[in-house]
Amino acid sequence: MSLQLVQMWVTFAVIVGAIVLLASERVRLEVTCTAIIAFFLVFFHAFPIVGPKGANLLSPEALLAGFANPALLTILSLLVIGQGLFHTGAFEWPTRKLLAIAGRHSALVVPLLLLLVAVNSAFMNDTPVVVMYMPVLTALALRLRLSASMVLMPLSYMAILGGMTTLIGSSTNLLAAGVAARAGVPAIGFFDFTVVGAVLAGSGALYVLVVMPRMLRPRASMTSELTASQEGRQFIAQIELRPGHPLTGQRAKSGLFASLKDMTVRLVQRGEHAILPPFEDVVLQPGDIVIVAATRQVLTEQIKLQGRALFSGSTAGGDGEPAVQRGGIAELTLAEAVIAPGSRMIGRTIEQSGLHLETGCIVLGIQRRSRMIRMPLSDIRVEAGDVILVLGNRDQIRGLRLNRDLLVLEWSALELPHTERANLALGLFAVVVLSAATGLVPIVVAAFVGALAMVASGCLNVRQAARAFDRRIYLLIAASLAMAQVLEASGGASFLAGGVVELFRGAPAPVILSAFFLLIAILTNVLSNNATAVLFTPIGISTAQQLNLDPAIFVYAVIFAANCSFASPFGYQTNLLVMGPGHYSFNDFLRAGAPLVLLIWITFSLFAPWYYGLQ
Amino acid sequence: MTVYMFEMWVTFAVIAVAVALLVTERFRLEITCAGIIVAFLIFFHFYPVLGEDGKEVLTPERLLAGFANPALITILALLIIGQGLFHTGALESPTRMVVTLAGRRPAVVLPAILIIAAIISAFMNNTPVVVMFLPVLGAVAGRLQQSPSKVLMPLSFITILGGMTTLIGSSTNLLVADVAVAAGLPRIGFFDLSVVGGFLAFIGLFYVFLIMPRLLESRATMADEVTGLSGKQFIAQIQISYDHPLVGSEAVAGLFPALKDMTVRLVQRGEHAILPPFEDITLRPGDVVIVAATRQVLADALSSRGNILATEPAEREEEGAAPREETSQLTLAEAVIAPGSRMIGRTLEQSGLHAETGCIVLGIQRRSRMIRMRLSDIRLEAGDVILVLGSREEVRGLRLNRDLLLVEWTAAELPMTEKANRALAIFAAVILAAASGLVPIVVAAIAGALAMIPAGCLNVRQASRAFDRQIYLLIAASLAMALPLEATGGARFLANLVVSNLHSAPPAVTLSAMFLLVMVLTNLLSNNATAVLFTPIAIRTAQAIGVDPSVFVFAVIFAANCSFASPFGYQTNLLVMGPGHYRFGDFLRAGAPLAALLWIAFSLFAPWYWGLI
Repeated sequence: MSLQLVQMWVTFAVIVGAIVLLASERVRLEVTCTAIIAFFLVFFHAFPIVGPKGANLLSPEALLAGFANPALLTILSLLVIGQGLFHTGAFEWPTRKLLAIAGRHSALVVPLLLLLVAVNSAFMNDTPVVVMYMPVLTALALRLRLSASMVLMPLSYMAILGGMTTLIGSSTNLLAAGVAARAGVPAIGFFDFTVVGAVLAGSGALYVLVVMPRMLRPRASMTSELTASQEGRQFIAQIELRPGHPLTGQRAKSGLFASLKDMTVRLVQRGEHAILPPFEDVVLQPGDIVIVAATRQVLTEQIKLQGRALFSGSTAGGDGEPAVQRGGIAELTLAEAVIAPGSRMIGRTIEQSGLHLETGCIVLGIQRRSRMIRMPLSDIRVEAGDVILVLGNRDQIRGLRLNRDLLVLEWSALELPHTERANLALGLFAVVVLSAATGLVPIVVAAFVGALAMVASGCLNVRQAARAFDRRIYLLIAASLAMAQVLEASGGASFLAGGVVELFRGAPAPVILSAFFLLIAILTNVLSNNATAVLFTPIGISTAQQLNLDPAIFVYAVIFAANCSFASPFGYQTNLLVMGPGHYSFNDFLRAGAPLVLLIWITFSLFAPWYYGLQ
Repeated sequence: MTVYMFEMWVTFAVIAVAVALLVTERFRLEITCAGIIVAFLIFFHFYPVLGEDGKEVLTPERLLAGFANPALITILALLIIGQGLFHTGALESPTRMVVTLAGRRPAVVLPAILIIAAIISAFMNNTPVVVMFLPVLGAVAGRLQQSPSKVLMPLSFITILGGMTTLIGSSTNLLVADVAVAAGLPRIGFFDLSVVGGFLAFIGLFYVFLIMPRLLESRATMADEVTGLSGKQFIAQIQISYDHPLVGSEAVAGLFPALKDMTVRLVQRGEHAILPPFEDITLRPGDVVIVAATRQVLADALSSRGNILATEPAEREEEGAAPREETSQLTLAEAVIAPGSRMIGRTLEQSGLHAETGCIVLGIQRRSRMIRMRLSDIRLEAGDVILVLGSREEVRGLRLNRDLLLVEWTAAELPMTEKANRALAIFAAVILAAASGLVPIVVAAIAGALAMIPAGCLNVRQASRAFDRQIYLLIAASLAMALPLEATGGARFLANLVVSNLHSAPPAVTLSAMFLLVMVLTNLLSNNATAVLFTPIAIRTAQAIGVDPSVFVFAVIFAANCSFASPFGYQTNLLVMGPGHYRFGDFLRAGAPLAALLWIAFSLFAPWYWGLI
């Protein structure tokens, strides 16, 4: 076997290994990505691939070039711009107007809003769009007495569908176009695939608006899980231990507090520290806050027995009826909140985040990917998309609404002022989109300038902008670009393309295009969109060249197929983001998303060959 | 070839503005750097510069390529390796051995440690070396009854000198070597700098050991300032428990009547620090009140109302003890915010320091000045010095905290862990692989940085904190500035200007002049920016007078490293400025002669060594 073949098969082996590691999440993403780059650096230093001019095609410079890839820098810049729009609340006011107008026809509001999402996400990264519309849609669902699960997955899908229609609609599009341009395919323009993209998005939107509502089921929220029990509905009450409180000095015996019988102690908050069951040798101190769950019956009895001073607050039931009728006890609210991407709480524990100190709210639980995490609350470092259940009085919860680190899934009527900055952010966004769409400046220049302007104009500060920089996206894309480069240089891309062509020898071009689309659409649900798109773009171009077809058509197929990450929560960041607050299971995505993938595949297979004139 | 006069002058103008903004720190560094790149992106999109093959040279791809520059990535990877060594305490036990060995002759300890620092910094970024040795030297100074100001500036200078001797000794060297290769010069080897660099470092060493101690003055520490320069004031801590007599006492006109003759410095309420002026503050149970008072007042307070000061049962038994002993249970210590600390960018409250360690922060100094802002509003930066108050045990606990560098090396033995050995082995492997030329430096560095994580020396979060966005953006922007300077013919223009001003002077004089120019600028601007900007100019100058360009590239490297005369010229200077309580003038007084000395040494030695005469 010649050295070149060895190099090619080693490349395949590394890429397969990388895909397995990335898909199984066995190792942290940052480590996997760096390891991929490091391996290629060492391997191709030892066994260089010599180009026609005698230079090493895979020198460290070439392998590391992904870190400065214009498409990657564009994506990061657009993330900063999206963060600016989110932070200034730029889209709140237009959304509110729409709601006010459509308010009378409540059945129409949700579809209208979802269409707005699709239009919006055509010109923005998908993640900030979902972040901005998630609280609105959940609030709306609540008003229509729907479960949040009925609207959140559609939100994610609409954002993805909208993202298919323009070059800056999603990071995948930019990356595939960047790789294609480097391979010598003519540069893809802003609206070059808008027609096909819009047809696909249109058929997808019909499915999302008409069929999906019948497939999704209401899911139990964290609140209802916490308050459900065999003896009927539980209420949450809060006991603040002031000096002289009867509970002061109580010691837990075999995990229970004797004077709180019939009640389940959920949590003892001491300063920033949360003490969780099992309680062993915990002595209650003045200043502690004890959170208990009990039925209405028990709460009322306890108040009769021990006096009103026992409780400092309790929650209302689902019907809005207070747990304790004549108690005069402050009313508490339970609310779910999602950790926003770019939140400064990310990577810290709840204690470290100082949430209790800052907002007065107490965190009762954390869910990740719709599951309660089996770790002490105080050891969990929160990630973007985690859902926390917070307890506080109405004002405190309402105060969270202004907090950009958390998305409270309850859109209060509280009017946020439409500030000058929101206008500024909107203006900057419009200028960036216009100058990129008209081709006045390259997209990377427009995006970079826009991101700087967001910071310089005060819509974001440097720290907030830096948090929008996602090291996982950065490393993953750089590693994908390195893999694509190696695939190309080692001859792997044309080898695989040859395999595809050989397999479909004699089949008409539309069939090959359709099969290619399906392959990518499947892989993109397992792997990240961006990695899939970057890896398959060189293979697609090579296939087209071997078939004497326009490579651009295959690049578009890669773009559309790589965007079809509907069938798994891990395929795309927006899916992961709605998984928590929608309380979806993995299967929900498969059941609702797989038909959509099929639908888009069929639409593409029928429409694209006709549109591009393939016979 | 087309002449791009307009483009060239615009480039000069942008660079001049950029230098002015970077020096004055008018805007945040990140904004200035991104602004530089944006200016060039837009300008050269509308006024393209064509190369000899008729293609656009300054495309967005090229201008942004700095973000993936191998030298820049090497620097970041080496920072992660340095962070791994620091986090595992890898160099603590070797250092401790030296300290114990030389312990009997204290006069030897200081030079011995400084020489070790110089040797290590030859193979490592300078910042982690200073971070690791700062507590050691602080402790040694304390034992020798010297002010930390006598030893910390020497530490910074020594690491800079050590960094001159190999290619990976400092980030500047790596960047210049990369820019030179991009300009078509032969690759600079690992030890190519070592002879001249070693000579310069040696000369500098003599200065640091023999002359600098005479130039440096002792400076008052923060503790001195808080307790009054005469040292007559003592700090005491009053824990307000539920039945404490001070509960409910209210501040009247900023003073607490119950605490007369004492100055209330701070009231700590949970994580929140309440500072003077106290208006409408009522003391609550759980508050901790920090007061400063003379011994007399404390003694009086103890004898008359002992229960005000001593609150915890354990202390109550010692009632009546001399206030000296009573208050001596508390320790004041200074700690530096380490680079890569997770406290950076947060306020003290957000950092949760009080909850985690029990220590109370009494003050924050930045660049040797108390910050005139409310303590709770200050977002900490690397190099800030905080004055903490805590029991001896609590303060000693900070020693294990890698977010803070305690400027006081306690005798607490840290176990030499398995991880420390692993970190050292990775470090050694990286150096060997790079020095022997087995793999390129960038490959060795990335592999080493990666290995730190599975080896357990760092976790991903800690490693990513070693990633410094200011360094990243500044270097990328510098590389973007160097590109148009070359492409528009600006470098050639400036080189000709230099040559024609020194009409027919011998090459040695031109070399010396170039060194001086770079050396002056490096003290105002960052080393890296200076070096990257001057490398193309130096290469063009050498070509104009017909000398080997490598010689001029070496001159740029050495000169750009000579950032001794200002605290802002180099990160390590900024890092020791706080704990050493130096003023700007201190650096000028002690550093300018060193820079001048190195200039003279270079001007005499280098032309002879490279045969320019």
